[in-house]
Amino acid sequence: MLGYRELPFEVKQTGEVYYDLLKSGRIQIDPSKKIKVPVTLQDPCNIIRRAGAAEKFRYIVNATCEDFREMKPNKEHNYCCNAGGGLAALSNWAAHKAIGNRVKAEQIKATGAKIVITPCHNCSTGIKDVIKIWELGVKNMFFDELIVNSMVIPEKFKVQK
Amino acid sequence: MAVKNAAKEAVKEKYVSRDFKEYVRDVIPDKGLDETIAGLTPEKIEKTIKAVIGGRSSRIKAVMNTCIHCGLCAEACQWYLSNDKDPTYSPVAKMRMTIWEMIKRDGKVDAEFIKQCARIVFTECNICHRCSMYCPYGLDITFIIGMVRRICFLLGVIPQRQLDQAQAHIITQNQVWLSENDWLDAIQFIEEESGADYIDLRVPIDNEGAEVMFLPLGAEPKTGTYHIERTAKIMLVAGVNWTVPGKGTWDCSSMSMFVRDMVTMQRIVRGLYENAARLRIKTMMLTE
Repeated sequence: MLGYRELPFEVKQTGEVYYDLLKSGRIQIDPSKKIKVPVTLQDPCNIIRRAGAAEKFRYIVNATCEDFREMKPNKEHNYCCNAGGGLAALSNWAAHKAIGNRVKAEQIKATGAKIVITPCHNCSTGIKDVIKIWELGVKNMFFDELIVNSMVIPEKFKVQK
Repeated sequence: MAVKNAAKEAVKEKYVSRDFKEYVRDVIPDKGLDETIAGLTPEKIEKTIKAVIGGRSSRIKAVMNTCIHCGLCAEACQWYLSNDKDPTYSPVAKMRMTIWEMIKRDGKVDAEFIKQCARIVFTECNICHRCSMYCPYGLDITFIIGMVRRICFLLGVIPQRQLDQAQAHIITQNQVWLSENDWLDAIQFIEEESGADYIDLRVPIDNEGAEVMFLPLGAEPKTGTYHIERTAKIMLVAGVNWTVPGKGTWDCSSMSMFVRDMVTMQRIVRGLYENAARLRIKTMMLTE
C-alpha cells in the first residue's frame, strides 16, 4: 500500500495508545477514583489473539480498577463475544447470538464481577446481548470511560463553576 | 442457566435442513436470506462458486484432505459448547456443510443450499480464529468460512443488515451512510458541547504533523458521540497533539472485510493510509 515496504506510522488500537499514555505517565490516575466493585475483562479476538495486546489491556484495567478478576479461559484463549465477524450488525438475530454464547454468560457469572470491560465496540454489542438474554445484572464499560472517570485533571483545564 | 422466557418463546418453528438432517434450527426471518434466493439460477451459482474457488482450490483441498476429524476445533468453538455440543455447530461441520459439499457436487447446488450456507457462515461463525488456533495441523478454517462468505456475498444472499452496512461502505466509505458534511458537523458539535466540562477542549480536524490520528467507528459520530468526547478529554489531559481526518476515509470499521468484498476492503485501507500520509502522523489510532 502506498508503495512503502514498511509503514511510516504505527497502527494501534485505542487501548494500546491509552497504555502508552498511562505507562509513560502522561495520564495520572487518581487512586481514590479507582473502581471499587469487581470487574472482569472481555479479550477482543483480533486485538488479543492476532495482535497480542493482552498484557497492555491488563495494565490499563489494573491501573483504573481495584478488584480485577480474570475470566477463564482468558487472553488468547478467551471466547468470542459472538458479535465479531460482522455479526454485530445483525440486531434481529440478537437472541440467536446470545443463546449461542452460553459459555460467555457462565464465564462472566463465575467471576462474580459487576462490570465487564469491553475494549472493542463489537464486544460491547455482543456482551450487552449476553447480559440481557441471560439476565446477568451486570453492566459493561469502555476503556475511555474508565480513564476519563479516574484520571487526574489539571486545574488549568477545569471549568470554574 | 435459564434463558429469559420471552426470548425462548419468541421462536418455536423449526427448520430442518434438506441436505443434512442433523441441522435443525429455529426459524429466524431475514429478508436478505429469504427473498434474495428467488433471483438465483443454477448457472449463476455454479459460475460464482467456480470463479471464487478457481485457482485457490488446492488450498481448500489441502484442508479437506489434511483434516482428520479429531474434533479439537469443535471443543474450541463457543457456538458448539453453548448449544449442548450440537455437532452441526462445530467448525469442521461448518466447512463440511458448505464448501466441501460445493466441491463434491462440482458447484451444482441450488438456491436453497446457498441460503443454508449463508446462514451458517454469516450467523453462526464469528471468524474469531479460536478453532484455527487449536487445530493440530494449523488448518485455516476461518479462511474457508471467508471464502464461503464471498460466494454468498457475490450471489447477494446475505443477512439484510450486513448487506446494508457493506453497501454503505461501498458508497460512503463508512458504515452508517454519513456524508462528509455530516461527519464534520458531528465532530464540531462534539467539540462545542463538551466545552462546558473542560477548558480548551478541541477535536482538531486535519491537523498536519500530529502525533496521533484518531479514526473512530462509523457509529461513533452518529450514535456514540461520547466516545469521541472522552477521547478528546484524554488527549487534552495527556497533552497529545492529535487529529481526525476532515476528508476522505475516516471510519476504521470494515464490513467489506467480513463479507470479503475485496475491492472495497482495499479502498478503505487505502483511504485511511492516504489520510495518514497526507497529515504526516506518527500513530494511527483505531477504535476497533
